[in-house]
Amino acid sequence: MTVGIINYGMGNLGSLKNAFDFLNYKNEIVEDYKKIKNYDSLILPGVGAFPKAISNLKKKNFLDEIKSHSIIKKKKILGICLGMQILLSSSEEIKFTEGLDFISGQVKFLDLQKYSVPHVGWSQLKYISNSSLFKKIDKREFYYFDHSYYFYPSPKKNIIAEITYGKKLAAVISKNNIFGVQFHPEKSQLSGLKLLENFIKL
Amino acid sequence: MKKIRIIGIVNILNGIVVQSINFKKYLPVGNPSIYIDFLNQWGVDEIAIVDIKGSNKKSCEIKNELSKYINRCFVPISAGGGIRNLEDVKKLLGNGADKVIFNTIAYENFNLLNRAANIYGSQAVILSVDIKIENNKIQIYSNSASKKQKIKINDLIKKAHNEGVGEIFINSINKDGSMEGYEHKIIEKINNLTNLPITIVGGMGKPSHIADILKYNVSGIGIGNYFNYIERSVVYTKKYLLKNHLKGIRKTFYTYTNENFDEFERVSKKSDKNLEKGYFVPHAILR
Repeated sequence: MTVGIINYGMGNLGSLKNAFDFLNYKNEIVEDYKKIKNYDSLILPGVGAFPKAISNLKKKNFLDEIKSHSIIKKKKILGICLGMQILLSSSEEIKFTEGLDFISGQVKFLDLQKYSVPHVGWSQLKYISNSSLFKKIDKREFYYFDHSYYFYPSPKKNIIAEITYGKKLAAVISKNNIFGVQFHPEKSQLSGLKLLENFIKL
Repeated sequence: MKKIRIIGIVNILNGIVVQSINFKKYLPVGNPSIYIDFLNQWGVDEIAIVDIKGSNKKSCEIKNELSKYINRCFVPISAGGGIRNLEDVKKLLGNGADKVIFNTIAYENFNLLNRAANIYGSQAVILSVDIKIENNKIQIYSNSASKKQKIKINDLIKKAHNEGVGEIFINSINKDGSMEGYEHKIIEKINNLTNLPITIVGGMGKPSHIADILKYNVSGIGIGNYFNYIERSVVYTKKYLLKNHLKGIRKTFYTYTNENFDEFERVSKKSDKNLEKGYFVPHAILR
């Protein structure tokens, strides 16, 4: 039951590792694509720009292994922040770049006049459909967001929770064994830790 | 609804947390990891950790210590002090920081901020500006408030906006440690210049000082010394704000009712039974 945290040179792996250590789940930071087959649950973290993330994943040969893990073997994967966006079809960040396309949708720039961009801060979620990710978590809890690009499905498909920040944004998406959260559960105190635990227990 | 982040400022000098007064005098508080652990438990929204004399050093020293400081902390972390190059940025982010705070280097090599934003995204780049009001004008300082900079605040903010900075911290040198409230002049002035999230730091002496600046468009409130004075200071600060019907404050696992404040906005004494209820028991909640 080891959790694999994919290291593709993007983001804050230390705090995810901390979170799983705190929860007492065995976890490893995955540097080598050959190791991916050893894990039941994968975490795809990510802080930074979309094109760079995809090119790093390619460079380290992670792409095919992640596909085989999630699509062929149908094992669990959780994308966090940029990691969630990478699960989608494409992004317009900097230049048009194709994503993993596990869930269809385009990532767009959060173009707002009256609100600060990037969107930084804590938000309560509006729940669209039920998910065991939020088992035993108070619906009023807040989660920490920090992003300038967003995704919102039309029609409302594969969406579990949304928030409104100038416009409606997807906060949590899921399709079968694939999960993505736009916020940072590892930075959202107890409710975030509980969410990570729920993901592992799924 | 406008949301306000309560940011705990952790000033580090020679490896210990200190209170800072006008960027000149420093009083010791204690071990960073213990202090940060408390802020996290008390429900702070974010923590900013700064090596306050970092600009005098050859490289960023806290980058190696950071993971030790924050290993029991599950709120967003920004860190900085003495950032010199991309290697510092990479190391800080790798050791658990979500955002990097740039100050003095911005006047020497702004390009570094731009490059960091391109690699790690704008949300990871914070420009921290130290200012002083002199002859009714805003004067920018660098190098721990020891060196004047010529650039005007308008130009700096514009530059930050165009070069990919994601957030701006404004530290008031006059108000630092004064406990007399935040610097309103500066907020008024920069409010119309940018839609980047602004965090104001320096001068908090009581919770109503936060209420005073909520009329401006600020995203974060930086609180340093004030959080050192009493147990569970973050909880009480939030309780005061919520009790006074200020919305946009993140509630945490503490209950925010049944608290009374005296005329100095300090929490009234409570019975031991009520005190016990407020303790933080993560495992009891998690399992």
